[in-house]
Amino acid sequence: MENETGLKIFFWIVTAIMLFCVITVLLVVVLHNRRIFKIKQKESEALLKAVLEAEQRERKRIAKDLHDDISGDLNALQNLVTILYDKQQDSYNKEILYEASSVLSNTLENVQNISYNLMPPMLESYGLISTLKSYFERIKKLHNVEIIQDYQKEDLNISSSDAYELYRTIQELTTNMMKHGMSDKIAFSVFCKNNKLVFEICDNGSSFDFYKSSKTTTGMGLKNIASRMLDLKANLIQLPAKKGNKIQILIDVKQYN
Amino acid sequence: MPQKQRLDKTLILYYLLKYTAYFTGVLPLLVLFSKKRAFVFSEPIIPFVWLTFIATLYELVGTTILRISVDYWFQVYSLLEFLTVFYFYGKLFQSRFKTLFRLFFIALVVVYGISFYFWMAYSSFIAVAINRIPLTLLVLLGSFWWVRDLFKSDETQNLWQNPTFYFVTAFYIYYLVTMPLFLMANFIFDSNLYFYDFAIVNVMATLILRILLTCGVWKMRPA
Amino acid sequence: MLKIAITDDHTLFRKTLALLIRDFKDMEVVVEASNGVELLEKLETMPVDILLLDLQMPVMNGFETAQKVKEKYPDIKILILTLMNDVDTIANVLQLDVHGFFTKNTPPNELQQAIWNLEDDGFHIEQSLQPLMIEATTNPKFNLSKTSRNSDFTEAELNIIEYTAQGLKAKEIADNLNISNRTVEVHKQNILKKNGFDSMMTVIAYCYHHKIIKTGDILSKINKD
Repeated sequence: MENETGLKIFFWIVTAIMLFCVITVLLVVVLHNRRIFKIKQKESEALLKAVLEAEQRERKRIAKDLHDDISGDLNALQNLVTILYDKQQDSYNKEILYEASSVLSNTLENVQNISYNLMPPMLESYGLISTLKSYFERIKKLHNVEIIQDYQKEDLNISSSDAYELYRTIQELTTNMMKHGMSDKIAFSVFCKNNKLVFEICDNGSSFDFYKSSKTTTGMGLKNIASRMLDLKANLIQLPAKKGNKIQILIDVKQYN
Repeated sequence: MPQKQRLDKTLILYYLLKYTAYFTGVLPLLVLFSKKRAFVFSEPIIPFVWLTFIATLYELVGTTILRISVDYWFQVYSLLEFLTVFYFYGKLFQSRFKTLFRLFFIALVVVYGISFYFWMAYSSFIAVAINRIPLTLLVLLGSFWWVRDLFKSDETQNLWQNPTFYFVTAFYIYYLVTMPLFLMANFIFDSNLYFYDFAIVNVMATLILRILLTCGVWKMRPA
Repeated sequence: MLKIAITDDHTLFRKTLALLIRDFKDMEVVVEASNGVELLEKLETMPVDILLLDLQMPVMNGFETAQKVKEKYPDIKILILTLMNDVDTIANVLQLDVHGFFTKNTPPNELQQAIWNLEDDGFHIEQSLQPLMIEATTNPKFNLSKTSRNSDFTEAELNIIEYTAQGLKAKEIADNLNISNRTVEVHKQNILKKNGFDSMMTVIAYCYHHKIIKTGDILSKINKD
């Protein structure tokens, strides 16, 4: 009967249209949510970058003030104390002045160290590798640690803010290894592998699981490393080691060519 | 006889849905009152909510109780419907697309005039169907524009919290589904046998519209 | 009376240094400047024997200033006076071919000796900086621009260079080699003039870089002291 078939067609058409409507609405919702997710992700990435950059700026500023103003003033003080010392006849006074001079010397060294730890001045002018070399030299002297360095790639084409993030990460890892891991032997190397730039640190201290530690620790140092890796778009992997730890930071070389 | 049983079942379903529809017809306005926005006419959806409420009351009183012929009501409703829906989209897009909106308005008025001829010559159903055509076009275009704006904007609002999302979806689904309904009703159903089947789909669509309307109004922030 | 010029942008340090030098015998500070431009201005009217030069200054930094002073006043002996004691800075200073390097961390009384070294021997190297100097010069990127051609030293000259690197004074070198002071001086002048060096410090750096002298011996000699 015409009505029967008509009815059937009718219902099919209405159902089809209904489905179509619902599908289009759901499509809009899904696509919209995806878009919003991407926007939010970009926002959080930009926020992270802003935070890290603010830290870098602050540290640079403080380091500079320490290095320029305070060090200079301490040097001036040393000059003045030396003048008095030279003129002084009384042996007791001379002794006092000598003490004053050595205190000044120590303070000067401390201030230099603090300034250096905040921001090594050569990072911007001489680059990451030079800074790392100088950093490890200082560590060797200050902490009595044996450090073996192997730089297979020295000419790094890295932006100065990326260099800073890498430096701080390596600094943080090294400090961690020495302080908590009680290592006295560290091997550091830089090389290229599979189109990636690799920074590798091995030590002979107590083993720690990087990702577990960064979750449980209360200090900000390890957690910051994770943020820095995110900002650098780099990976930090921990390889199994018979004794101690072996950590690698991989970063895309293509970005820098 | 199977056919009579079937008719009974559909009748029960029909009345069930119809009274639910009445209930959901008054709901939006009630929610609006609770949000204290019932008279805030800067909100695009307000006139339509009022219309829904009034229509529900009329149908309850006039048709079910007093049993006045629906033909007159359909024509009147068509006019009010196009005015309130037009108001919704007009306010939604503020002052953009001015010329297009003017064109639409003219088209709607002209078609309304034409519909009277069909109303008298044929049936009120055909008149409603004809009035629905430009209105459905308006709804489609409005929905498309709104979605396009959504994807251009930088707002990160959750869609499920946005009242306008519910309204746009409500109109979109309702008019798209009922358009063929009314178009085909005249050419396929001559007998009352399947009238209720058709009516059920219509009521279901209306129900969906009103439920979504209520959701949307509920998500509005209180004034 | 040695005439000294001090150039440093840290005012307090500069003034206290001037005060200190005033108490040194037979020297006086005749020029004080806070940057290279100011220094060059004042040098036009005031003759100077020794220049104490800071590296980090605004307007014109130490490196640029040193080059300009060497051009216009080649007789002035330049002693770089700076806080920075890292390998790369030392490398850059050596490449300048100036006459001495003095870090501000060193006790100020040693400055007097350093200035006299500059006047008497023509150069001054802080022995504690030798290891850093060796590290700086062994870097393949180290480049003394004037000496693209290979410099030749006679055996006598090489001996003198080695002893000088070990920190021996002219008289001690003369005694070790059984020659007179005068001869040592002549040899030194030849070394400098023949190869276009301005100070023995640069010569030593050159020899380290080209591995003409064994740095291991030098280091062990220094550590003994």
